[in-house]
Amino acid sequence: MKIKILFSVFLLFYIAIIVRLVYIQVISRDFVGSDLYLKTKRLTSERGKIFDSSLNPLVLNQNSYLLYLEPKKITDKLKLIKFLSEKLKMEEASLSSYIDEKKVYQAVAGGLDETKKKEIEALKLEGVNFEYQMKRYYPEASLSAHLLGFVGKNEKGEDLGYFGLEGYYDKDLVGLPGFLESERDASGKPIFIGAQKKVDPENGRDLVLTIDKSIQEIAKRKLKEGIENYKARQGCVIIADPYTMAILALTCLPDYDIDKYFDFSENYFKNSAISDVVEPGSIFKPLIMAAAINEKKISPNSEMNEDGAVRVGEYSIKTWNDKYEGRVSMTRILEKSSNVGMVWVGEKLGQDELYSYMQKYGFGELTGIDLQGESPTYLKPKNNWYKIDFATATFGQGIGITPIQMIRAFAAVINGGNLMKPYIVEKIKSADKIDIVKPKVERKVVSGLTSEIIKKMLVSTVENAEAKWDRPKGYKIGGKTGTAQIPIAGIYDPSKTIASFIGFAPALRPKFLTLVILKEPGTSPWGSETAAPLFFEIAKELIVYYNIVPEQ
Amino acid sequence: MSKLYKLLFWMTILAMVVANIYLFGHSIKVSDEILALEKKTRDLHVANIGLVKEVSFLSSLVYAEKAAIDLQFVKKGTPTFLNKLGVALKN
Repeated sequence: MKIKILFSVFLLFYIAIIVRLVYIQVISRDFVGSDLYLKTKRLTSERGKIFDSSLNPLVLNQNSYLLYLEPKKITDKLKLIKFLSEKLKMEEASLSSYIDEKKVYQAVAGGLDETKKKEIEALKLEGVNFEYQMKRYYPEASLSAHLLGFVGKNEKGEDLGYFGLEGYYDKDLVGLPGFLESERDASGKPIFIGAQKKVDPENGRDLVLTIDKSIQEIAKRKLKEGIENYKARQGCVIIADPYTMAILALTCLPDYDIDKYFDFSENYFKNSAISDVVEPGSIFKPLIMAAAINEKKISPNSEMNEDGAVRVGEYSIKTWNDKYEGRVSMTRILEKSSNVGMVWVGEKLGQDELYSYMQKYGFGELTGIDLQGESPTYLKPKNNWYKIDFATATFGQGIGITPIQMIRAFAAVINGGNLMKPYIVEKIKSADKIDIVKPKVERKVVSGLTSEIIKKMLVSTVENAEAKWDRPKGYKIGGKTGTAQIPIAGIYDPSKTIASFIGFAPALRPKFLTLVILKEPGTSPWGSETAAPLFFEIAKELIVYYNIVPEQ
Repeated sequence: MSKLYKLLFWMTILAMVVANIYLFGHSIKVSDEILALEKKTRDLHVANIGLVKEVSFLSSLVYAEKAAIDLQFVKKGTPTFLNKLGVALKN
């Protein structure tokens, strides 16, 4: 009898359990939901890293923490506000506004490092917690701020790359988050025989750049010195391999502190090397000269009579110093940077060919460089050009181009005639494969012979220029100065110029091509007295860095 | 015979109860181990990221510049001994 009673009690007990289980799992399954025991956790992917050409890290990730409050668990509100405001350097009033007892979660401050987290944890404040995050770390600080861009937030509060490489390659860098579905008991422990499903996150792809951090450091250091010495408003240096248009260094100043980008206005984020549309000035002359030689309209030894200013319609075009040498060769026109001579070359070339070469050099189209923020330039239709436009274009005035367009076109005339697509990223690495970016020839602009001729003319331009520079001894260097006046409200202000120099070394087979631009230099408006000496300072260090043997 | 069946029945029940208790205890232990391993993996990942950061800082130009300044390895600090070996030998 006793056994029967005991059996009945057990039976009733089991029936009660079964009824309850049927109620939870069948009758009210939609109401109860699987989240009672099935916990899903988002596994964040690690954003891709960025390395220079020698695999030195330029951008990594670092540990970071988000401090959040659980207002319902706060026991001593005043103490919490007092201590946290000290540690986080926040106003007590604004911290107080975060504490809403109706809320269960309130994010307060992100980007805290390990030390700060430990300091706050040591205070043992109730209701204060941390959530693990990652943020960007820049071992070389702001060495390449404009190039790299930065990671901010989108409207949903998720990481998003802005400007430079972070902006351009955001989708490659961001990766895919994974998730972990795991049946857990009431205390959060995994249920041994429960379902466990894990999808690993796919980390972002790493970028290997064409940038060499040592060259980047040389370029930035020298540009900073140059801007200070010549009292310029801003400046840019672009160094590229002329045969591939792989960018070795690219820097513009002033730039911004990449770690504290939020303290800077948007103007600082703009990379002038790809975004500023400027009149190039005399550094444009070799392009027109090369076009005329390529079309066999002139040769380096052709002569013209430079006997005074030339009139084009109602305008009078003079040489920079209003001095004229009579009969001069084409090489001499470049050496003395004669505007009058270039107008003559332009006339020899013809308007149709001149316009056609402007298009061939890629003006009026994007270069396609893999950086966010490249500005398009506009080459107005040929039938809208006046005679004076064709004349001034020969010496780089009256047209607007970006510095990256300029260096790309110049590379084409010294590399054998190939217009290349400039690029910064040479490898994109993921866990299972490496994509290699190869140099891309857009089109042939001038012949190899023309290229050799123009290189010799540019070496002569450096060696016989009217200004004498402190050049590296024993090396043949080609290049051209430029001084472009800046149009303000349609009028050129002679005191405000863009001084520039574009040059390459060693002349026989150039290892580097460098464009130096100084905007509104204060000590002298001329490129020959500002940008050119800066170029030679950079060239000296590059020659040592590359261990280039003297040619002479 | 019926006694034997009863004995077998109760022994089976007892064995199942013991197995159940063992499995319950074991599952708690395994759960704890999973939790501990999850934490360890997370900590290792965090520590690894911290170490990568430290190594990259030590190989950076920023650190090299700082070290050069600390060591007074600047133009002013260039040892004259290299040019004046006699002075170096004397010292």
